Amino acid sequence: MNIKNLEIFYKENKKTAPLLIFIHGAACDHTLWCYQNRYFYNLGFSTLTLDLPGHGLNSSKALSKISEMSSLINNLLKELPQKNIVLIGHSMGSLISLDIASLKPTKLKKVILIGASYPMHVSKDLLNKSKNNQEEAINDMINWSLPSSIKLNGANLTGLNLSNLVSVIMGNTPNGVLHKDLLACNNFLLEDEKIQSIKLQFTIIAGEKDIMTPIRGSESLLKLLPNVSLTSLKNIGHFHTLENPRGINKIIEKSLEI
Amino acid sequence: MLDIPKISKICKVSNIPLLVDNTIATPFLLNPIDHGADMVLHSATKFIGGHGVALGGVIIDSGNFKWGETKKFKNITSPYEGYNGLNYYEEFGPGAFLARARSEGLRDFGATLSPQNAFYLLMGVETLGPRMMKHVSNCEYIAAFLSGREEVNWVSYPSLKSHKDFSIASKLLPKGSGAILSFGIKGGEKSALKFINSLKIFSHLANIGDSKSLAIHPASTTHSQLNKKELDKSGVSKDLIRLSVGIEDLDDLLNDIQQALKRAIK
Repeated sequence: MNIKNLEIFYKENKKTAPLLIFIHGAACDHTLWCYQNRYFYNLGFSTLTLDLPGHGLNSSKALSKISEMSSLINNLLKELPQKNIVLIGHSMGSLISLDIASLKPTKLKKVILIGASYPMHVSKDLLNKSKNNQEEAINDMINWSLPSSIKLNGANLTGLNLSNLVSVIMGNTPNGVLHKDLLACNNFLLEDEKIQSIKLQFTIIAGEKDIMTPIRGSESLLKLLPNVSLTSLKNIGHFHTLENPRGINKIIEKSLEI
Repeated sequence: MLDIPKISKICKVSNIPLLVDNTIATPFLLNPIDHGADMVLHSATKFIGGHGVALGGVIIDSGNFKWGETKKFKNITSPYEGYNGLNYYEEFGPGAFLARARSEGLRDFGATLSPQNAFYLLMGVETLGPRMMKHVSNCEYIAAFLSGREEVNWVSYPSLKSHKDFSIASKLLPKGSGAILSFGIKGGEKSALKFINSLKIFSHLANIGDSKSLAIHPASTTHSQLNKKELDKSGVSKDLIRLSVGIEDLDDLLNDIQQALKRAIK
């Protein structure tokens, strides 16, 4: 259903159960979370995945700034009945999560950032390519994102070939949206003081073979955020949630226990 | 021959996924997804394995079909009782069909490849390319050879100009039309059975796609449960012999066919 210009997929457990909101990255959609959504719902959490405007099943016009995206989700938070909400963002979704956290919504209790480089510099070449030839830019991103071992073996839960799956998910994105997303990531910057003032607990998850948002890209967040921990996973690249769903779920689960 | 581009256009307009069984053409000769198919099936028991010793199959989903844009496939686009209300399309998007095929076909019905069969099929697929080249060249020679024999009524092989779908085959199968051909023998069923019983190198087998050559008379074996009307409808005439041409020495195969034809039509 479409609420506040977001296409949302909501699974409600008990009203008192914490709500996990999963936010996808550039040129992706809610299916990025296919191995997390039901897993955590079955553990007793309520879950919400979403398609940002211009992504997946959301045909609204794509947004150009991280602040516009976070504002939409922040407005959604206000409408939701849960008082205990956790944001889980991947790549561009991690920047959106960080921005929402900086707005300090009272319902937000924890934030989990996956593949979170900050600042998220995007190379000029990729920006230009995404503008002039989105398909080629997506191919490049997938090649850089998935290590060769993953390309060979596929998803360890369903056996889906990950290069093909991600290629179809990203390939469905309307022309021009990837460029907007990458530009939004590249331009997103918060004042240091603003980040330092966020007292929430942050967990950062990084893939050791991630070239798109490498572990070292999280260093500034580790310095700035007062309450943060970093966990890295071996042998995975940038599509963490699909490449090692069990590993990711385990870290999220542990982080939710604290 | 299936005119994949043409049928794919019709399917797209009607929101129907196009699933192509590519067992006979094999991935070496044809990629149906390049021509507009949404999904592809293979019986891996045939050319992929190449030796007829292992049961297995493959489903390849391009992920291009938009299950959610039609209400025809509620078993994929609405909560499924059999899996705790899972909505496959909502959860897996382009991976919806394969996720359901695996969770139900594999988990619930147990259609799981055994490790030994996986080993045979993996070993077989390593030589798929070179095998197909030899399969095709042998089959093309045999099709031409049979076309010139007086004991033969007709030959059906898409690479022959006489085939009704020759132009489609030329477009879709530039590397050749595979290794399965059928021909009609003079004298009908009686001659057909005699021909098959006279073969020495070809094996009398219902399988196709082995590296060894196979022959069968479908009307009295694989299709024997059909009545005359049904046989006519499915294009299986009493004089039809199906060959799955292997990769043996071509002269040996031609000599075998020649001697069997002579014995069949005395």
